[in-house]
Amino acid sequence: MRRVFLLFLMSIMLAACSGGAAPATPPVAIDPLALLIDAGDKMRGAETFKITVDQTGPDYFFSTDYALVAYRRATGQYVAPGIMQASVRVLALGIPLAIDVYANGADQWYRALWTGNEWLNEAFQEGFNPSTLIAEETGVQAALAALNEVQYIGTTQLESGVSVKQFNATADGIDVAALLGGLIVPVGQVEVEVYLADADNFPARFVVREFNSPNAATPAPGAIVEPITWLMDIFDVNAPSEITPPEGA
Amino acid sequence: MSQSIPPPRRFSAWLALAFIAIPVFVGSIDLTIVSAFLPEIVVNLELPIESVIDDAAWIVTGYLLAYTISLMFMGRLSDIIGRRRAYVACLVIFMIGSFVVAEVDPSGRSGISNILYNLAFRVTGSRPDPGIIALITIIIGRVIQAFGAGALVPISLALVADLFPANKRAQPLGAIGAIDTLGWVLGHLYGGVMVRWFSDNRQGFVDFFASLNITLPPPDWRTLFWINLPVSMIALVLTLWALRHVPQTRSRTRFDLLGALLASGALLCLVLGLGANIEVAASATITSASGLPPYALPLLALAVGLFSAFIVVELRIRDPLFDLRALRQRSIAAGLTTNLVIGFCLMLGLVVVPFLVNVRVADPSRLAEAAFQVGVLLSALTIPMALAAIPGGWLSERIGASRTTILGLIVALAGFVLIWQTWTLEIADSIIALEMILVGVGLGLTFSPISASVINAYDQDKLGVASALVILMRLLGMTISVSLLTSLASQRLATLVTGTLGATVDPRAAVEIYARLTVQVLTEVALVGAILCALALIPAWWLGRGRVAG
Repeated sequence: MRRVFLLFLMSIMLAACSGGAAPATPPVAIDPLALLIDAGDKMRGAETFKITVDQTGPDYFFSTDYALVAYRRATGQYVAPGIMQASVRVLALGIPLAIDVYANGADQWYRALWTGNEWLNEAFQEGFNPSTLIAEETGVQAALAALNEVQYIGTTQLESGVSVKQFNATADGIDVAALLGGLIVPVGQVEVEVYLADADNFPARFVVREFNSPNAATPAPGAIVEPITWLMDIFDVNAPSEITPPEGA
Repeated sequence: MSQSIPPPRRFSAWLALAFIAIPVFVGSIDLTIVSAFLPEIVVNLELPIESVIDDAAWIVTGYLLAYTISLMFMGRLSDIIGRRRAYVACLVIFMIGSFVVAEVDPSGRSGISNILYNLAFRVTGSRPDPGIIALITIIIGRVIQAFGAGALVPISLALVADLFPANKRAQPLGAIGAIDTLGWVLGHLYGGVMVRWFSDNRQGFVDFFASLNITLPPPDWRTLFWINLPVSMIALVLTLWALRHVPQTRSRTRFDLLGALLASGALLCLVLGLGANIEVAASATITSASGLPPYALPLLALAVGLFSAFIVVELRIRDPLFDLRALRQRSIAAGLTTNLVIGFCLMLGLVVVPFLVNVRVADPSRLAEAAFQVGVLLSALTIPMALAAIPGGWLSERIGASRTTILGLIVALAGFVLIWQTWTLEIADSIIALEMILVGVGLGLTFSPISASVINAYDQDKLGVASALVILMRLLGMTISVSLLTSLASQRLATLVTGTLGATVDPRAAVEIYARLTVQVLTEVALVGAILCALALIPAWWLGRGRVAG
């Protein structure tokens, strides 16, 4: 019994300690561009998928009518052809707040503490439109096609246990906004990592590193300047929609 | 049957008791320590306060619940496995729990938080919210801590029997009870003062340790849990040394495992059902939930079922966890019922002040200052309460336990009515303090007469059991209070907010409206306190009418 318990404990520890994308194994000869275009195609064909967009590194600020707000994370679900509902976590004047956002095409709604958690038919982010995520010219496929210096790094495993192929590239930030769900528009030259699921070649993760962002918090004197890192995970592809539209939407 | 042992000399017995009492004090400090800086923890984890404060309240509820469950049966278990062994094991458990809380990483990138983060990622397939994972880690740590700390009280009470002869046990038993009370009375003040001190001297601490070639992060609320480790370690060594001549005795009676499981299960289901908001998801939800979750009523029904089964088992078994037949005595039944309500009302007082102070501050950069203010204002409740126990005992000897308890309840009721009538966002701290003193004195006046009524009605060879039962009922009241109130108050606030705020409100104006609505809910909570004090007059009337030695 004790041995079984120890084995169970060890398996949990091993599972838990294998956190972080494991180092990629040596690459085999494949055509990166073809794989990325195929991945873009697959994403365009998906009925639904969920995303989480996390930000690490220095605080990323955007100004609102009322206060300077620091972005933290967003989780949401996309439903084809152009609906998205997300919960966005921000720090407003240091207070953590959650804002629920719903968009159907260009029609945006949001609710937060200050709306009494009632939906308001107002734009949370001017110009945001989920349908552009899969549009041929502006969506993920276009963003993947806009990548420069694409390198296939090898196969690796995400923390969730999904086996993936890793590609590294560079791009102009504005071209790869779709890789962050269209919620954020990176500025300047960015580094991009793309992870495609081994099983079906569907995008599993995008990592975008933004250097010298005008929205980044000013580093303390003498501190090492870190890039703003955006990490978007894509999961639950073609799962049933969990979106509950606001009344009247 | 316990082996008969020669008790140690009185001096060494008191010295041993002093060492044993150190972890009891530290453990009971941790009962209330968090109430001063709970909002700071939530902001530190970057979780939206309005939607997680009820989940974060489990940092307090989890500790209370585990402390109560542990206190319920560990004394008896220690008789069977050996008190010294049980004491050491529970102290180590307390230290492990303190370590888990102390080393929590809000970003989920290191330590136990990272292990849980990766586990949640693997199980759910989606990236979990690191703040939620850190919150879960803290709650787990607090529960582990409390299992150890709660057990230390009954084991210490039981160790008194090993250290003192039967006719000399009243004083040391009272001392353990007093130290336990002193801990939670001072816990929030200690927490508030220390968090403010850490905040004011962050760089000073870093520079000091840097001068010793030690690189440490700036101190914060987690440092308080690091402090538990060396203190407990020293206490452990000293206790082992002090108890070295005390033989390891073991009782041959049977441990009522079934009773312990049924009572723990009933309490757990009750608290979960009443709270019904521990929906700590591994990731943020897309839509915010409202209303009681569907599992609330089944859990409450299960609690009733388990409790009924517990009563049946306890009445039939030969060595029950609690001798329920003792409840046939009017003084015991009335005393324990009154104490349950008093625990409930006490928690109301402990909860409303931190909320009021924090909504008034509404500035994350001043949270340490708010923690200090909470600590000081809560002391206006708890220190007079502890001091009022002395005149309570004196009065009890002169006018009787029932009249003294009724007097105390009326004073506390007056305090709650004043809170209900006077609290606004702008109320002066001095008025809050005066009202808290009134509630504290009222509740404190009841402590001695209730304890004396219950203890005197018990057989003299069961003083330890009676003392533990009095503490247990108060803790039970506190546990039910905090879980029920955070749930109801959150629901009430959500209803008020939804009804008041709405279309195109300026966020800055909304913050003030939200704060005013919160204060309104707090006054309603005080009204509940007043009503409960009034209801407690009924069992208080049934307490011993005669004069009771305190």
